Amino acid sequence: MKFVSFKIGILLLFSCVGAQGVVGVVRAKDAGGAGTFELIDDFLAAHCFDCHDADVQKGDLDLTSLAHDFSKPADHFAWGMVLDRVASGEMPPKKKPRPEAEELKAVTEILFEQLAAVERERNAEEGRATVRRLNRKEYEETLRDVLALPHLRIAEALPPEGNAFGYDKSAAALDFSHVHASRLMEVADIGLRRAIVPARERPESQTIRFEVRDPKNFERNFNGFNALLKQTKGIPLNGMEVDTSMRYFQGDFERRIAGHAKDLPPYFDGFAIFINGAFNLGMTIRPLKPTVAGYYKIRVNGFGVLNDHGEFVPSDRMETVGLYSNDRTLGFVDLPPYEPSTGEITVWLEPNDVIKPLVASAPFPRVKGLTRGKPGEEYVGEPVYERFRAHGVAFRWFELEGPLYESWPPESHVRLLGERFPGDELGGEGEADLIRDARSLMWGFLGRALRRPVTPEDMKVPMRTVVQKLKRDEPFEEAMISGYRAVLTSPDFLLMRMDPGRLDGYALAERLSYFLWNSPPDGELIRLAKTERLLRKDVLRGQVDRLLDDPRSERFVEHFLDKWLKLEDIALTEPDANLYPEYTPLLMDSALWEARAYFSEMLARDLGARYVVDSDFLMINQRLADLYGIPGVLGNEIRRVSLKGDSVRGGFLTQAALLKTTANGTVTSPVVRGDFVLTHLLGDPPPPPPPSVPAVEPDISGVTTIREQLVRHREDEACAGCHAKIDPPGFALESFDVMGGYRERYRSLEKGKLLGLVLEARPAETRAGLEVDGSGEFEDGSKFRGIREFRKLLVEREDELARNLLEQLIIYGTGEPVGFADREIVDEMLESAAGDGYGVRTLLHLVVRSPLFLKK
Amino acid sequence: MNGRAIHRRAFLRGAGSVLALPWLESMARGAEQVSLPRRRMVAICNDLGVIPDFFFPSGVGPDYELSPYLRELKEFRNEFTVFSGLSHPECVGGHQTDKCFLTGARHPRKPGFKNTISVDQYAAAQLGSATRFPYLALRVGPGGGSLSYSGDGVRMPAEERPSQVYRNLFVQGTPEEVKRQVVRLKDGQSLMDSFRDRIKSIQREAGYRDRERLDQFFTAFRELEQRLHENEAWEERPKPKVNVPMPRDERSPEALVARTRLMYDLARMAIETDSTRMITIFVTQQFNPKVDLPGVELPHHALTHQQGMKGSREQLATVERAGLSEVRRLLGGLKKVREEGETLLDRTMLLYGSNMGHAGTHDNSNLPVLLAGGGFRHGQHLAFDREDNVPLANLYVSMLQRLGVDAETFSSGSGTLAGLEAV
Repeated sequence: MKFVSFKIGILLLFSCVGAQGVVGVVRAKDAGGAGTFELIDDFLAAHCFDCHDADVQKGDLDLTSLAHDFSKPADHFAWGMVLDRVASGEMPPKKKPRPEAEELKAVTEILFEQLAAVERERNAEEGRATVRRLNRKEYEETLRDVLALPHLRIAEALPPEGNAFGYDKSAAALDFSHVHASRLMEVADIGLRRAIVPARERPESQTIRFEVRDPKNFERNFNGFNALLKQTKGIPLNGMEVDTSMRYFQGDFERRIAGHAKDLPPYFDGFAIFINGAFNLGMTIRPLKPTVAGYYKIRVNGFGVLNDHGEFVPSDRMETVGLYSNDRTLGFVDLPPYEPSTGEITVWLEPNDVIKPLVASAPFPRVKGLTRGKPGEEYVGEPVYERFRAHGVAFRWFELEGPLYESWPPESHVRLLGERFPGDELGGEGEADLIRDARSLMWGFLGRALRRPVTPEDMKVPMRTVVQKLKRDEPFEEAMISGYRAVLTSPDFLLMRMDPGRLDGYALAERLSYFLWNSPPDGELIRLAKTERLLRKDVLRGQVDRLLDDPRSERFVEHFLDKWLKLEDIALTEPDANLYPEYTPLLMDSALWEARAYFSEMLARDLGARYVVDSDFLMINQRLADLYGIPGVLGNEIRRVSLKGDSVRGGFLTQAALLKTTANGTVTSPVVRGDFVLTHLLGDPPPPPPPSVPAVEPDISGVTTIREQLVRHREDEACAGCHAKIDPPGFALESFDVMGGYRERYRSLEKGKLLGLVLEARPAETRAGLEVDGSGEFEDGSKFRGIREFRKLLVEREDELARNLLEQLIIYGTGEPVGFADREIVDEMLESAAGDGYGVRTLLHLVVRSPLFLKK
Repeated sequence: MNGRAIHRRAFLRGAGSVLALPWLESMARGAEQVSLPRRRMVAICNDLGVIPDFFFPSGVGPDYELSPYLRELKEFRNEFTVFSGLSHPECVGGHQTDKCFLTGARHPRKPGFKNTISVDQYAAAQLGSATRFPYLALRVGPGGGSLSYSGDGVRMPAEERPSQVYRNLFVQGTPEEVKRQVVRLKDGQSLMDSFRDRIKSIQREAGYRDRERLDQFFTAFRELEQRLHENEAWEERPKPKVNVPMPRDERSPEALVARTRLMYDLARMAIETDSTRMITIFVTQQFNPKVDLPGVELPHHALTHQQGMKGSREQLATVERAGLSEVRRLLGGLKKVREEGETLLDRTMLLYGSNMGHAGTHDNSNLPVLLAGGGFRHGQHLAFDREDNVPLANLYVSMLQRLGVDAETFSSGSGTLAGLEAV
């Protein structure tokens, strides 16, 4: 049986590739037989065994030990590698004699046929993809949808996921152990308890205001402001003026004398600060405490200032206030300079959340410098705020209003308990009434949770525990929670199931919505699945557009970029404060917003693959405009800005997010960035470094550049081969520093002219080091003098960019990388998209309507 | 199977295999009172290795000369053995071998690689029910890495947040929370059975790879049921109290030393309170942060690759010495506490090592490894051939036997490690 389908596979292949030469056909007849390997063996013996035999094993590869068999995964993979290296011309190496063209063709064809045939047979029997569970991000989004809790955060409480082919969308990346199972139970419980409200009465909304005045008020209610005030690191204001009537009394930490400030009339009514970090300061505004979970409005009133050594001078930019809680960012509001205004955000808060304001657009994490006077006595020296120049925000008041409910009881509660509340008196109701209600609630719940029609069988397990508890007179809500928890941890909920062959409507709807939303299909998709209308090409196309145009597709954009461009790693290191004093957390946030907004723009306008590396516009805010040197962009909101002239910027290639992710805190390495461009943008990963070769790392003493070191490295013949390929893209990107700034010189702490930068309100030791050389030469001899020419060369490789982007989408969407059996389909997809410059939305449509997506 | 008077398997053999499980449970509980010394294991792997010249000593046997790094541990000289010439056979693949450090599985870089059980999980399967936590898998550093792997080769997630470890170990829930937890455990137990049935029925229609994948789920649900059952008993007992406040998680990428210390302290406290007897700690710095130690300017991972350069070598040595110094602190902590006339160190095997023989060249042979405490005759350099290595898993066999686990072999280890004797 197996043998037959194997042969059919081969024949099918040949009917498609047509005139691939007689040799292949003859060989194909005894597929897998001795003849196949005779030709391959002869080829290997002639061209490969010199280096890759049992004795030499160059690159840890012994080809003589490879089994004469393509069906085992490890052998299949090894043969696949042989084919790829030989077909691309990478092997045999340049210095060795080339195989005859005809010989090469015959061998590559045979290998390809064999490998594809094995896959095709397997795909037919089992499907390309392996059954998988939801990953933790999907689990979170699914719970949010099912429970109607759009702000539930539980992903972090689940174990981190693995990685297969770069993503967490494949079975191989998604292990399951008893630890996972047990955490899921806990997490489901958390979600369910969040969803129900404790009592029938609607909590009243109230507004709490904190006025920025009176040192005593600071002392009681806002440690952070109190510390900044008495240390003279913030400025008290009367209206728009510095309040000079404030008197400061020196403290002494060792002798436990607390410093303090005394306000004389006229009393201050505003307070300006210049920091974007909390450090040891308690930046919590104590009175602003949410009482119950719900939506709240937070308002901030104040204005931007520019403090020039104790004097307010005109400012031409917006300031951004960041509002933070213990472990997350709540949001940002913009305040214009010298014009008292109110900014407002609406956020979900939990009872133990706090509210901390910082000036995200301020230059320093903290202000350094001390007041020195006699402990306990009035301090009469220069206030610290007269020692620096910095943008900041003068705050006048803060407000918290809430909780605000769209409806009561909230939708999340109604879904789980209907009109019942914890502690309700039963009245005349009996057990039977409770069970009847429970059944109807559970039926509705299963319908939302299971992504397919519910059967009475599905009710059995959860209702067993519900009924048992109700019969024991346990509270209705506890009985229901126990039943719901059984659903949310069950295999039917966790697994994305597909049967080999064409997907049915439900499986397709599920695959599609987890692809583009990371969450379960909505009502419309389910309706289309039920009637199987979703399987119609035009309907499917319409749904892809609908899903992409829905705000939920932001989850796809974020998650896909997190994995494809490794943006999830952006915060793993932090730029060294001495070398990069201008770096701020807002810059990193903005960089991520930029990348996501840019990809959304590509999707919305169906921009082509070249936009991965090139564009005539940017998606930026004030902070990024500042970094990129683009005038006239005010405020924190990301917007589209046209690029004028021959900019160094354009595409993901030169976005701060990518440049930061590919650097570590201190230095950039052309090897790391070169590898990144090849692997993640061009889809042509270089082989891993051979064992026993030391790597090259930048030297920050300012004596040699990394480029000089690499040149020496490449003098070693063993290194030259790969580095001729890896280094050039990295060289071009050397013109960008670790936070994405353009540079003509490296920075150094030891040698060179001081750059005049400021670190924590004091002069920084940052110096201009050696010159950057962004030129390079590709293996094929094409040269570039810097990033602009390099970009032009990359744009010419549009088809490679497109193929890679398409392959990434395929892995993300189907969980499997492009195999030999898929290459033909992929080629066809690329061909049909070429006319439109490989628009990314077009590619996405092609993926969804391809057999790779429509079949398991 | 120490910690219980009668070896479970020996008992089975003696009584014939007709005994039902409940019997065994009661035997285990009753046996606690007349127990042999509790033996523990802490295994630490630092994934960027150490500079070999500064780690491996010269001279062999008891009269060896302490290397620069080992001088950090000199006060414990007679309480540890340093090894050279150990590695996992056919376990190459640069940094990708971290997952094999405690498993010894071969060829981690091969496609379709499947890991095998780690030594802690192997021991925990036999000894784990004696403590509230059968094992603790911990990690210092970001990512999803872990040293612990189940029998199916499934990675057992490691906890990175000290606050969470502390909470699990020492924070007693309110009576309401405990009640809810017990209900959840009870509910869970009855569920697992139906979940397994469901997996079985899905498997019936599935292809080979799907079936294999679904096996993981089947096992997970089975193991969870067993653990829920064990946890239920523990849930009713109060958690141990410690007079140390809940630690704050160290979020700065540079704070390797502070993060390591927090985790080592928690490991010691877990042992002290007998909350667990198996701990693995994966110290991962592959993400390449700069370490905030005086004189260190380059990122850690980068330094390992240019350890040939003088300035870099000194910086790297500063980082690595600090790592050893934290091990000293941990050893000191374990030695201070006494239990039935012995120190905790006497009863705790502390394995410290790396999956990298030489991180600069991505070499996985001649791994730096030392074993302290646990009731062995220490104070020596056990030197094996640095070219033709002895399986590191032989050491694991010795450790398993010392724990009281009935193991003649483990992974590539075909017997105990020659020259290492129990006291």
